[in-house]
Amino acid sequence: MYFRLTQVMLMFFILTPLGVSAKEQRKGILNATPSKCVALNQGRTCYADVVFEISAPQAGDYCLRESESKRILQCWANTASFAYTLSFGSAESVSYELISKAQSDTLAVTTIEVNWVHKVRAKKRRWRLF
Amino acid sequence: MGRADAEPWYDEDDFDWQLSLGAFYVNTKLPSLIGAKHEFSSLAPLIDAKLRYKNFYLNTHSGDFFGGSDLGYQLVQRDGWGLDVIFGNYQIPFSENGYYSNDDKVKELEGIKERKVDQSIGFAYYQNVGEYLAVVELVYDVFGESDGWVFHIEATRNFELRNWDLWLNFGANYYSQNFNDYFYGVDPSEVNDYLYGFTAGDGATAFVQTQLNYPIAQDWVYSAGLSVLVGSGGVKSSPLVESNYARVVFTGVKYVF
Repeated sequence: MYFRLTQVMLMFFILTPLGVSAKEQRKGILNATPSKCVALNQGRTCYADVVFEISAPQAGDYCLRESESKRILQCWANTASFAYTLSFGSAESVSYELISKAQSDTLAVTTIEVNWVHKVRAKKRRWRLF
Repeated sequence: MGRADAEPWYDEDDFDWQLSLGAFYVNTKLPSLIGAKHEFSSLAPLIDAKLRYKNFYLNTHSGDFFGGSDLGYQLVQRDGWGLDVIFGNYQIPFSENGYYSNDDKVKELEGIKERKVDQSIGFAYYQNVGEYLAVVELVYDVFGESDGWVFHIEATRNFELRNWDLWLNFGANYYSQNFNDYFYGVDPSEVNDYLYGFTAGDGATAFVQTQLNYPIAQDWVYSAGLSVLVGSGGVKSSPLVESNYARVVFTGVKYVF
């Protein structure tokens, strides 16, 4: 019993940090702040200055691009950490990905979510007066 | 740039609702009644509701500007214009207690009859004019006591400034002689040491309002607004009133369900 408990604890201490660090590393490669943009009405363009902070595991050539359109926002050469400020404007959520030029591989993906307060636009409005 | 629009502001389904709860600081200065308090400040809860069932709608505004409710029925909805039957209030009531009945009795107003809020019914015509939505309303005080009518005209435009909404609204009201006299006339039975008999003629007011809205988070909106209204000189002739100017300033946040 003592042996099995030790084994379980050992596996816990070995596996857990690995799992956490892998997750954190993945999360930490590409961070966007803010990650949510709120508009007043559904369908309206939401604006935000979004800062992407990139911490690649090693120095290299990287590009940040829109996931769907594949439009390149910016590329960096022979570096591991860098930041990019995007003047975001979209009526829908948009995903961005970090790619390695050498491997043509997607290293990380992040999404700027667009939400809204009102489902419908208050087009007709009566202004109450006396 | 956004534009005000005469299109339905809701989905085409049978029923829609929207409820907002918040807290607003409101400072209101009403036309000064002789001897009565006419400036009010409060940090008050806001409860706004928008209900729509088929062509019927009810909008209540408790927190911003002068409050009140709109009840209406959409008779016609076309591209760029519309016609509604509307029910609403166009004048603020007062009594010998001033504007609010829970205030103390005002000696200068002692003995006057209560001026009850009008219960007006009429038509509202909406028309897109460029970037503006123009509204013309003609209502009659059907369920009130004035036997008067009001003609209301206004134009509204929304400027979308990134995530901000800036609403601009301006217009004018014309009050018939009966309507104006009900509120600002002084009957012989109401004459006291401060009030002399007076028959009010017709009257008019002009107003401009602006409101800023900003989404501070999902479901949360910050609002601030300013409303200024100036009445015609005829109202000022009434011994009941000392000024024909009104304004409202408000700011607050609300949660939209």
